[in-house]
Amino acid sequence: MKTKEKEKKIGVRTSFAVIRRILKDAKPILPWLGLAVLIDLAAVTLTMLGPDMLGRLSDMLYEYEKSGTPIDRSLFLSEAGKLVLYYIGAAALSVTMMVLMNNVVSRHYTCRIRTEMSEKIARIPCSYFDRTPSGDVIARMTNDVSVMGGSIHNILDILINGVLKLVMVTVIILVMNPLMAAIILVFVPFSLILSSLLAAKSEKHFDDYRGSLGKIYALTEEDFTGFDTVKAYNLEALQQKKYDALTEGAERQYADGIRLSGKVEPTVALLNGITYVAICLVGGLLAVGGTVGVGELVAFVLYAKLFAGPLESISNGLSMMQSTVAAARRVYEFIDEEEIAELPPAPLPEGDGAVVFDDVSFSYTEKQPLIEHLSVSVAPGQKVAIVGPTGGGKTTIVNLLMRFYDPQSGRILVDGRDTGTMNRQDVRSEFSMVLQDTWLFSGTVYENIAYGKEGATKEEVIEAAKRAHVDDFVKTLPNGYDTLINEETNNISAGQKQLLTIARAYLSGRKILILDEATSNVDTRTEILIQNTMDDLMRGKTSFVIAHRLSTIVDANLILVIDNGHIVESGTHETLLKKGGLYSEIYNSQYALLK
Amino acid sequence: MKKVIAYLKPYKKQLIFMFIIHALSTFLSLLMPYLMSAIVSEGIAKQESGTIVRLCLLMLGVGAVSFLFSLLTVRMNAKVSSSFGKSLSRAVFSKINSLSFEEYSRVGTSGLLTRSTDDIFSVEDAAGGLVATVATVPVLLVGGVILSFSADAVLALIFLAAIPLVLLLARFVTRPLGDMWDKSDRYIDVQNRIVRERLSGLRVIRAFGKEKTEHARAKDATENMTRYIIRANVRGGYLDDAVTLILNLATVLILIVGARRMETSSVLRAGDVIAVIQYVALIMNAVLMLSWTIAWLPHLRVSVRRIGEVLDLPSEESAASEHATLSGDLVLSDVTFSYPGGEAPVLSDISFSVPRGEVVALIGGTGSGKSTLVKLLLDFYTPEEGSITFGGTDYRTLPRAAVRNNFSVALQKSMIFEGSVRDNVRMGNEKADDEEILRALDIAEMSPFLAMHEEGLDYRLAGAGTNISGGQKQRINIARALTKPAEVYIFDDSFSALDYLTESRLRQKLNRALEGKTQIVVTQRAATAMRCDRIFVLDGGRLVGAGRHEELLDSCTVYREIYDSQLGSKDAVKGGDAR
Repeated sequence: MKTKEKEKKIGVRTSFAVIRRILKDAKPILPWLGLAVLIDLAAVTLTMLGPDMLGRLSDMLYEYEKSGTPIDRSLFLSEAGKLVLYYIGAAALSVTMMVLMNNVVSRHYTCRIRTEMSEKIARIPCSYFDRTPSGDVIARMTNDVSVMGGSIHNILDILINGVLKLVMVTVIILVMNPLMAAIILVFVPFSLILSSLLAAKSEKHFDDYRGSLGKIYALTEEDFTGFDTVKAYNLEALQQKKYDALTEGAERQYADGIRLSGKVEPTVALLNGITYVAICLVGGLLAVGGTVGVGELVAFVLYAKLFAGPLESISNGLSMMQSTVAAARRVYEFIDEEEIAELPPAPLPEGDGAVVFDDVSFSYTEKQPLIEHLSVSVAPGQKVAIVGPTGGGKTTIVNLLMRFYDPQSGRILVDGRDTGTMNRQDVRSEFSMVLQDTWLFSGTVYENIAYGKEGATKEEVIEAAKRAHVDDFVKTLPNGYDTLINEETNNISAGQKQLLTIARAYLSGRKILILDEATSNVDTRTEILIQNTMDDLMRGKTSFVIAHRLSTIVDANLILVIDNGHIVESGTHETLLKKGGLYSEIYNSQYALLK
Repeated sequence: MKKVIAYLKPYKKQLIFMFIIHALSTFLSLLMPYLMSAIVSEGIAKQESGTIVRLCLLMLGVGAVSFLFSLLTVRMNAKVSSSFGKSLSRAVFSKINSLSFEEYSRVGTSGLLTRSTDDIFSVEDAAGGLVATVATVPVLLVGGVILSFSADAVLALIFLAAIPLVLLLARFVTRPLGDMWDKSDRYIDVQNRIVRERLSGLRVIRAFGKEKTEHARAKDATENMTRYIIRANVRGGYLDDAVTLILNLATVLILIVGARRMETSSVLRAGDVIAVIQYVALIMNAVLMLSWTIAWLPHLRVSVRRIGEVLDLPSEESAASEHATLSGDLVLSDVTFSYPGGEAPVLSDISFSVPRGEVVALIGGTGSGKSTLVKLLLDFYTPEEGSITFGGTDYRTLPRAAVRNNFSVALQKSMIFEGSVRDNVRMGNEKADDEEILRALDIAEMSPFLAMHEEGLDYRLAGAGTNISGGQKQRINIARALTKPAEVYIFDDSFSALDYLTESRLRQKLNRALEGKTQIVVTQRAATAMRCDRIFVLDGGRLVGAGRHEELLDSCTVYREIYDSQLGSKDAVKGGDAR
């Protein structure tokens, strides 16, 4: 798996590969880009015609001055009229091009790539997110895509426009005077090679810079998430120190990057200047010799200038490309992240929720085996309690049941079917789950409960709320069920959050239930009040309950005592107490405190 | 706005220098066509090869100087914009960490996240470019105007007349841009918020099979954002083409009027007309640059405003490093508090005192106000009514940092920072050595965990502690609290994820280690509370009982119910319902 990952990374390692990927990604908009090229072709042709038309008008003025014959007014005005039409035409083409590029490119790159990344979140295994700071993922999805999308727009613009102009002017000057054209053309490869060399050197800095930005995002996100801890410990200075260190590095990389890529433009300008001088020199000397007419020289110099423009914008595009490539690489890395292999959805197995662990072994890291050869079989409707010291692997059981992680060996069967051979969503749709870490999204209280069931009616939602004793406190909220839960979810208490998630689970009403410390923040009085709800919730269902408050699990059909990933004891409350092992030690400890 | 610009002040010299260099380079670029025409008139016309060579060398020299100038500005720009970005982002980060909770929640985490990152980066990118525009445009404009007036005043006036038209147009086109960028930025906030939520709620979302819904929400925000971006870009883009068109039409007008004037007056020469047209072309570049800047300024302004808004928020008093140690006596008198925006008070008329060295428990049901009380004690919020004193000193006369310096707390929401176990614990006290850290971890019952991992204190904890269990997170938080020297220690539901066995061992060690210090233990467990010197019972934001366990069993129904629900018979609760 490691090597596979590496291969994938190599996929976008070289900047050439990234650029190829960007272009490959442009395939769906290729027809539009083609259209853009055509419009641009027309626009560039007009640009080339412009000086000529202006020239004809000014010739008439020169003619008048030289010979004194009056200007043919109707001819002059009609020529001027043509010029006006030409300018309007050029503006119209340019506007069309602008609107087209904006719509097509922004929609395609900024929007579609963001959407693709958003979809990707759903297909990446939990393990990736468990080890990647969310700030880094956010940085990739926002800042990196912005940089990528914003500059692709310009780059396409510059490259299309620049290349077309370059080709056209080359043809024109070759026809005009091959010798002087040769002077110009000799400098072209110099400009391009030099600018790509400089740009390539800057790439490493931009790469580092974007990586640092990801770290800055991660630190910022972490700091904001732990805002109260930062405050309580006066950690502001410490956090600032970390932040300063990161920005120090980032800004150095940024400065190094733009210092190098910023050299491209002056360098190309210098080369253009040299070309210009060379033409003046050669042309001037030839003109003195009489081989070249003054008018021809002036026209040639004008075209030489026309040549410089696109060359500068192409090399500019090349230097801009480097930060785009650095951003795009991070974006593509995320998009290329290994996905969960998913099976197609299938009808769920018939049954009432029998669960079997068949010789399951699992560990998060190779070094530390956590669960080894776990075999348990749970009959439908049974209540299974999982108890044991923290860190012993209780929550891991949830991870495995829900297929957030897959075991390294062994099988887990639900109603006789190996969940490893099922679509994950199918597996999860067998379970209602209330977790220790309550999660609410910023929305109304109502929406947060209704989350449990697609298309739940209002009655169902309110019923669930009543059963979970949410209704009581919701009534005291200023806007009742329409109260917005804010992003920091600090406008309701931790216990209330848990009640909301219980209501959500109640509403979802699935075959098997997982309660992982579901009521740890709910006070015991409320807990007893909602006990009926919990009993209802569990009635006829298989349930897995992780709880420290042993009072809630004394009636379990099966108690598994897990320590260091192994089931050290199993049985009912009575048998385990009699046995006098770890369970009875834990159970008695809560009373030992009384003494 | 001003606050953001103030961060450019230290670079005033460099900015002025860049300005001058840019202006000089622009001036030099005006020189090139002049030299070119000199080659024609002085060199070719007079058939003097020596002059041609000399003028060419001069042009080369001008080119070389321009090149050096540009390199200089590139270097300087890199330095200035990166230093500016650095100091601005540091200031914003430090500002946010100095905010009170009220202010923090007002903007919201995602909003603050975008402001302290994306917005700053875009302002940073802009800083250098803006200087170039500001320096180049006036030189080109003034130079062009002077040159055209020297050719012909009337023709110069025609093109001068075009300029107000351009400015008027720019105003009209760019007016709604600010609003559009503002909206697109707000959708970026929304999008970030959704992504954050999706990452933090990964398991719940997957459990309910809601990835599609979540994706749809994110997509919606992204599409809205894109719509406004496109709208703004397109509208700004019109300006470019419109300005070009206006100036081109002015050129035609100059030709026509020029022709007429040549016929009527003999002073004007064809060369002058052509010269004016060339100057218009030259100025066109300046005007385009200007209009481009005008079209793009609104976005910059939105970013600057968003950053400025954060910088303008009031800070809590600055945290001076050294504070007097307060004696660990706490007195609350008639404390009433409701959250900003909340109507009903979360706490009403709370009065109690905790003498130094006492171990007290705060017990109460869900939503009874326990955690809020902790927040008031830590001076996260200020009570609306009543007062709190620490060691006899009223909170209102104490800097918030001074209050917090005397508290050490393990918060309800256990926070793990990405880093080693050592880093996380040492946050309590930067000066703590490994021995102290190990001792704290031992008290917190983390020794077995450390023994299991050969890295020991260097064991890397993933961000948000995703690689350890809830109970382990709580215990690291407890260890962190223990390393901090303080007078009062608060444990806010810090044992909830621990099994009773671990808890009872931990609490015994804790009491020994914190001998003589005040302890406030917030809990739901009667078994935890009953071993404390005194118990305060909260219910619906009111203090309904205070005293020792035995006293409360008799005198306080709420406490009795809690006790019975956990350690006694279930029947008691039914009686409680009838109360």
